[in-house]
Amino acid sequence: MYTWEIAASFEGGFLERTSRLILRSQSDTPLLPSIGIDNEFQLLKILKSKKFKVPKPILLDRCGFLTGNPALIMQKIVGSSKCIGAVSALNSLDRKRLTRDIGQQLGKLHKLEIPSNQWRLFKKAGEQSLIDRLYSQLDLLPYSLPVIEWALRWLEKNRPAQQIQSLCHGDFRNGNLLVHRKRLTGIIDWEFTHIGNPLEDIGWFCARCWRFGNDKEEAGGIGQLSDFIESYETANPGNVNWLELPYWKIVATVQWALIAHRQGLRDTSNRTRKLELVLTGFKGVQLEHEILKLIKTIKE
Amino acid sequence: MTDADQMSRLLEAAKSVLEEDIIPSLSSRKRLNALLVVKALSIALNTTYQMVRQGGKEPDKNNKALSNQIRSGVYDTSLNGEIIKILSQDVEERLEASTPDFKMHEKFSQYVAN
Repeated sequence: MYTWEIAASFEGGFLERTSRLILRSQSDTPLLPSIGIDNEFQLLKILKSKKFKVPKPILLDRCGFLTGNPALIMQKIVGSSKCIGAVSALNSLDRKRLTRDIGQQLGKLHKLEIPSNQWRLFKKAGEQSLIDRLYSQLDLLPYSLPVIEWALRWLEKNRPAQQIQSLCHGDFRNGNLLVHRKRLTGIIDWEFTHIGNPLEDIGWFCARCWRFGNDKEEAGGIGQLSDFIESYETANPGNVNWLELPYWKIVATVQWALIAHRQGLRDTSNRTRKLELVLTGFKGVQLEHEILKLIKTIKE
Repeated sequence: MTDADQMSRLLEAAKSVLEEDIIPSLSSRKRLNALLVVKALSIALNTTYQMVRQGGKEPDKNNKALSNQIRSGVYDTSLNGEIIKILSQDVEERLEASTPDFKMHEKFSQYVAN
């Protein structure tokens, strides 16, 4: 996906006066799990109507008039996605409030009842198990990764018995949360939304690799896990078994390791971008190190 | 892919940004310093190419064999056993070669290419 910010001026209508808008366009080669711009637009409409903190979708360009590819325009939400930097300046009360905002929104999302005719919009994770999908990604790499192979085997053998499904954001991490004046103002990037285990989102959010050094703040590098759980439970009581969270943090780290290895191999004519991608590839071994540590901890 | 392969990709990408994007816009004095850095990168790159030629492919052969064994269930009864030592040793060596600073503080940086 490509994203641009637009400053636009309107006369009359609900966008009266100058508005800050976001144009989001599909790339020439959308990533496989992407639901596509059309579905993302429909989803944002549903979520906005249910009072979720998401951007208001305004226009859908199915035919690619604007960018050459399908695109959507939505209202820009005030807030920064680099909330980790801002978090260090917050006091414990503010962090607690922000963490609770996030837990409440995610709990509410995992409880959302989507009309059955709209479930088809989101690729059902159940069609292929998550572990199988990760094996497929591993097999696409031109080299072998025994640690990932071993971790997938371990995940297979230790799969939790409880299988619940709900609407998952699919990339719920601090980089996709907008924060302004110490409060959560928006959740963005719904491209990978799917039907899956709600702990997939929670594990991804809480995995250490997304805390960027704020390791003590187990809830996304932002706040305490207990505050997150409390607000999630208030919004969606008894939905998940929290004892399974360590398992899902391992799943998240394996997923990120595979993405990092893949990014390291991607080619682009943009030299700076290529350097960024190759450097991301070097995160792969760091994540393998983390996976070993996580599984060893569970074992002990 | 071996560490040497990955290392040469990184050095090539860094050298290309330096030579083609940064150096042309530098003042003549700074350009001289930057050219010295290019020289240093070239030396490191040549050494890495040499490592690739001298059998940098070998580790992947071993990794492939180990991966196949894991997938076929050879280690199923001892997934938490001796194999962890083998895997840990490999990861430690690769970390030492690529990002030794991570090994020291084990902190993930925010830098990510999406």
